Amino acid sequence: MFVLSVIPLAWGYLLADRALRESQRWLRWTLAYALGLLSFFIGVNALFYWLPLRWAVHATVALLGLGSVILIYLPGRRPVHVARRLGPIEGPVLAILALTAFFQALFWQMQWSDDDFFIHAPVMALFFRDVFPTQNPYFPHLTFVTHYGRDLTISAVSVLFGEHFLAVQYILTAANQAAAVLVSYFTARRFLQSPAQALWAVVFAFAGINFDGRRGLLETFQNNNSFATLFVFLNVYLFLTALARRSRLLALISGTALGTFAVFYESSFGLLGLTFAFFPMVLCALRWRWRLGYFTGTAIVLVIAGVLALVEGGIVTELAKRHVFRASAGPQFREEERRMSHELKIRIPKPGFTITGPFKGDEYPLWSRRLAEDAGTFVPLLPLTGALMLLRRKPWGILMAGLSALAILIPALIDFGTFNSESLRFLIVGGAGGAMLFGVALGMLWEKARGWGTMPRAIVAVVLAGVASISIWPSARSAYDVLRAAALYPRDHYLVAEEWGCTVVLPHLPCEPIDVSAAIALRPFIRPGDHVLVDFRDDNLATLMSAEATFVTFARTFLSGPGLRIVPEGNPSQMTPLWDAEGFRARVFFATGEVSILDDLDVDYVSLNPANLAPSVYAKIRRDPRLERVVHVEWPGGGAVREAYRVKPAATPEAWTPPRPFRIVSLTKPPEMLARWVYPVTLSLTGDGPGIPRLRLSYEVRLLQGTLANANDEVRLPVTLHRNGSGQWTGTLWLATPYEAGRYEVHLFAWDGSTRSPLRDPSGGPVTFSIDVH
Amino acid sequence: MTPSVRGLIGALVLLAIPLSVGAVDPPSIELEILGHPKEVPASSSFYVQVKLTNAGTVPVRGCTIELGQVVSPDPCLALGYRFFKAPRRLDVASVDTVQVLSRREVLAPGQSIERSVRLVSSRQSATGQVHLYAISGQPGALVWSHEAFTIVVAEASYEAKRRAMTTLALFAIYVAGVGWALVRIAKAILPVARRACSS
Repeated sequence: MFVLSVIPLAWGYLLADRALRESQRWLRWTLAYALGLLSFFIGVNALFYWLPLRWAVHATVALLGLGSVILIYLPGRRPVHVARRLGPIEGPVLAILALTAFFQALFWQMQWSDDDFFIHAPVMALFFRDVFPTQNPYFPHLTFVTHYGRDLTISAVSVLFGEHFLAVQYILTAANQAAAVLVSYFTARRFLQSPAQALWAVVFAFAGINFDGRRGLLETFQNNNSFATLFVFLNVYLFLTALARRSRLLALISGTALGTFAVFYESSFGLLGLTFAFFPMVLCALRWRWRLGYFTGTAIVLVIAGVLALVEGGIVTELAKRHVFRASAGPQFREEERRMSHELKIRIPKPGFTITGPFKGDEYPLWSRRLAEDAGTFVPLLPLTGALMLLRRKPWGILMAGLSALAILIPALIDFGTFNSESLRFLIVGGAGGAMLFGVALGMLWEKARGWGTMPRAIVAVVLAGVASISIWPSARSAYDVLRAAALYPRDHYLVAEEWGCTVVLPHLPCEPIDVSAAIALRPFIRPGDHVLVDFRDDNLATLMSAEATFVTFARTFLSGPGLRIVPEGNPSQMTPLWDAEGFRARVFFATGEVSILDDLDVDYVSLNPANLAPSVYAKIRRDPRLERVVHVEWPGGGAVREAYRVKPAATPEAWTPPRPFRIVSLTKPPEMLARWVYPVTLSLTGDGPGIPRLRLSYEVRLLQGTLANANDEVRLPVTLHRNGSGQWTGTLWLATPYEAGRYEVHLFAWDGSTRSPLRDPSGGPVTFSIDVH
Repeated sequence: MTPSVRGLIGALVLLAIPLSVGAVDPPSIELEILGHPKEVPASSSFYVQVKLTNAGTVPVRGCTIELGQVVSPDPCLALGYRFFKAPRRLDVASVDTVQVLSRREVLAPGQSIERSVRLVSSRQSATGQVHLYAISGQPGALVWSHEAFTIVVAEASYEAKRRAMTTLALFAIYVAGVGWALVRIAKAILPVARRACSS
């Protein structure tokens, strides 16, 4: 099957050769990869709306094969392949950079897989269940508007490689990095008309800049980044080539590539669109010559891109739907749910003209030192380097300066609401562009110095070497660490994801290799749309989320049981957790084994670790007729067991005692309560009922100002009452505590059929009690 | 000594008692190994059954360990282990740690728990002792209880060897590529590396 992957590559090559008429051999091959990947995605994305993923992939491959045959036999002028050899320095330097970009990304992923594994891996896995358009793996009832291009591309390509999608992710990401080095270099070289300037530009973008937490584009490959970087440079190449050649066909290809990019990274898509729109005006103003061709070419690119972005899916399409058709997630959704759905609200201008810090959520002005920390040291020099490009009339430099300037200005000009802390997406583009322009300026200086005497030339060489060394050192160090780890610990680098999950390199995850075995054993039982409740517990939310994500990725299913956290006022930082892996109802189920909670949670399967449960709870689960054990996995050598149970529907609906006659007299709660835990609360009641009354109670936990802490996660569970004298009863209610420490009020409710009413005290008032959670 | 001074000293002593109890009576955790495998492959996961008893007077919770340091404010408990050689200095960074209790769980005085804990075997094959430690207390005042058992760490599994070979092969490709590029650069820069003109 993997042989079929040659077809998109062949299509990409023919497109580069016959349509783009690309004469540079290395660039042609790189374009073959990038255009092949993009074309493959376009086909799969379009067909996936009507066909299952596997069919969509094969149909796309067939269409690309047909297209390739047509391109081969299409009459037309063959391109003249001019053999332009790379220089004796530029070729090897470029090779080192591309090889390092490839292998650094590959080896890092073979150890750690991804930064945001918790969201990307389950989404990729769910594509194999034909879940499309995307749905949130943790909150399937919410719409999930996201840039899914990268995830769908990887899943679709992996259909040709035995569905080993994590291994395919590693290879594609690494290949994207190397391809981005080559496309950016050859584009810069062509339009700057200087190999030295292009080389300096690319070296500084990939290795000479430090963004907040990342060292150059070499280290910015996780999540969507490698796809975003490659397609930004590809779009710049296509647009400039289309304008330079004044070709309608190239404008069509450029527009299609730009429009498709919207599904990969809408922020960079918007930046490119705006930059392209301004570019012909700047160019004509500089040349004092009106060229209609520039404007019509640009208009074709932007119109095609815009139309495509409006219909193909993703955030831009969803935004358009909301504004044009007034479609919305609905007023019934809470702010927390809107945030989880990625419902974007835009306001222009942003008050204060400030940038929101990505990791703290605070605001800082454009002249703050923080900008250099977040976007890199070359951004403050952007006015100078941009002016230099204008003065020297370098179209590539002007385009990159415009792109960088917009990337810095947009997060200060546009208010993206709760998404303001995603400013790093813009700042990375601005920082990389600023670094490239700085590199070009150094390249110009070097070229100028070549004509000077020996001593000044030597001084310039030493200065340039010094600047380059200082800039590149952190990137070199980071690449060295990754490569050294590969050489020293080769066993800890995994291409087979099933061996990687929860193993040696991730010792502090609360999951173990046996959990991966259990997930794989459960996979054949799962049907599309099924939900699984899993039993992982940890104090660290990030590792807990990773553990749950690992399970649902290997089982290829939706998760049940997470809860939404309260969204803080103002701009939450990227580090603010929006949801918690251990929801209220999930915790109460594992503390009680009460199956009716699973109905409320819409659970189809429960996976558990018997050692985590109290013996009485495990025994209750084992003998419950509604739970059928379908998976029992033991670790070879003993010591660990995992089980999974199918939740069967109740044969007859359970009969609950009407709550009306009962009144709460008092309640006893534990003296100390910790966050994210479950505690028994003893209720004393008065009233009368037949036999042994079994009430159905529920509770809401609210902050003192009224905000609901268990939104969409109201715990509803049976409380069996025990007679404690005539008309006196006691019962135990299991109380799940909120995610954060603080003082809360608990409101108790009783259920009569499907009607909820407040549980009353003897005076007839609703029962509310406060808890202090530490 | 006047009665008022005696009274003052008495009051100071009484005030000091709770402080000194916390200071001189750190948690005392008894560690017992209930079961372990005799032989495991290198670089693999295996399980050891342990019993932990809080024989002290203060309750303990699970430790939070960050960057090789216990950072929990309260008395806490974690498990540490090391293959073959006991660490020279008993500090958390010198052992691999395992969480046996969450921060939200309490092991009260006199209470015991039995746990099956996952350890990861050493990379190299050898026969020797696995040193197991119950680490309890607070930062700066940790108490280490030690137990050991003998284990044979056999050769790594086929999968582990295949992984190593794949990674090393990829690494070799990288080194060869960079080496070739460096030779080309050296030839371009250094006059001695340039080939002499045939004429």
